[in-house]
Amino acid sequence: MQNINLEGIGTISGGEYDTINVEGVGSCTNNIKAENIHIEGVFNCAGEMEAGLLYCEGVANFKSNIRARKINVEGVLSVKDDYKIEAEEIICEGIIKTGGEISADIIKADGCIAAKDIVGDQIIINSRYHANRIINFFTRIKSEVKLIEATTIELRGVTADTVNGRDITIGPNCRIDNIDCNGFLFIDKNSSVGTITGNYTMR
Amino acid sequence: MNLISKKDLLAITGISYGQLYRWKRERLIPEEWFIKQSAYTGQETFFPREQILSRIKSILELKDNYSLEELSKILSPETSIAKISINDLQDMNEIDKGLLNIMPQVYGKDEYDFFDIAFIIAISKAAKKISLSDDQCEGLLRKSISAASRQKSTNVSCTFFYTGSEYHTVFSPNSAPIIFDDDIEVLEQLSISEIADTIKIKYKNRFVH
Repeated sequence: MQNINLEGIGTISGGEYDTINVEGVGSCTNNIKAENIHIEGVFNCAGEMEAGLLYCEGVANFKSNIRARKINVEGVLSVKDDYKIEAEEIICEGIIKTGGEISADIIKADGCIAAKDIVGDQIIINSRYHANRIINFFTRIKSEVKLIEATTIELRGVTADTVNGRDITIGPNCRIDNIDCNGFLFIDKNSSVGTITGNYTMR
Repeated sequence: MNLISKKDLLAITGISYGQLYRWKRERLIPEEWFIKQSAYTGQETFFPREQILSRIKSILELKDNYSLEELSKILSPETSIAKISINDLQDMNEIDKGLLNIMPQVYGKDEYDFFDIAFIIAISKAAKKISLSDDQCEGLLRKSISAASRQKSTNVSCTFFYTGSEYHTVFSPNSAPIIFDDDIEVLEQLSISEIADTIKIKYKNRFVH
């Protein structure tokens, strides 16, 4: 299968590839499937993406669903409207933003992750709200989610309407309206939580 | 339609959120089954009760012997484009023999997709229940084919009814029951998805290539 290395400005036609490297500015208007996709520059994709490994160090804007085995974001990955991101594993040190659902077995975000729903097995979101105001100015997107639902959940610096899970740890700087927990629950004193339901044991 | 909330589902089946969402991603549980409704606590998700419980039971029984990808082919063959030939249908005792013989002529093809098979079984069940003659069966099948081919998923029910002079079929979404006036006699109402789920398990080897 083909490999593509895009260093300038160009369009990638849809189809199936082995490795796609975008160091320049690339766009794709059709559905695309690749074993490895590496974005260092800017990539705009209007079609559906299916990847083995999707690694984004640059800026990737999607107008349709993404499905991958592993997604690693150090830059910005943004999905329009309520399309979804599905993967086995998602690691985010940058920013992931979608109006739809993010669903993965393991989600580890040290950066920012904003979506309507974030669901899966193990979700760890560690968004730092810096004491340094200049850094906050640049990271204007906060980790804001309507619903987080997973078997185990650990959150810091997250604002959510509802968090449902088996074992839940709410770290500092969180604002959660509703929690439903059926295992172990820990809530940091620097976080505010509304209602708590479920059969839980407080830690 | 009988619904069960996501919370109750997890409590009854003992599965975790991780499992539920992994199976949704693998298309073992169709996305259409996740029904969002407003409840006093906000938006809650519900599922068609019998279907989801039956599906989760199947997944739990089969998952140690099949990979998730194989399970997806077994449990969601409607998403596969594989066709079954008329010869492979000969030993399926759910299909009325008279119907089996006329299928190639009525459909105009001798390979059938998953919906075709589920629907033929539905007509066979109705025919058996109300003792339709071969001619009546054939007539019912012929007039239903066009509507059947327009169904995009197996998530429908088919209702066989009698107007006093003729037999008819109507397809409707599983979630919307049909209510007729007093002059219509409802003969049988069957969920295509329930039939589909039963034959998927029973004949799973035919759908896994």
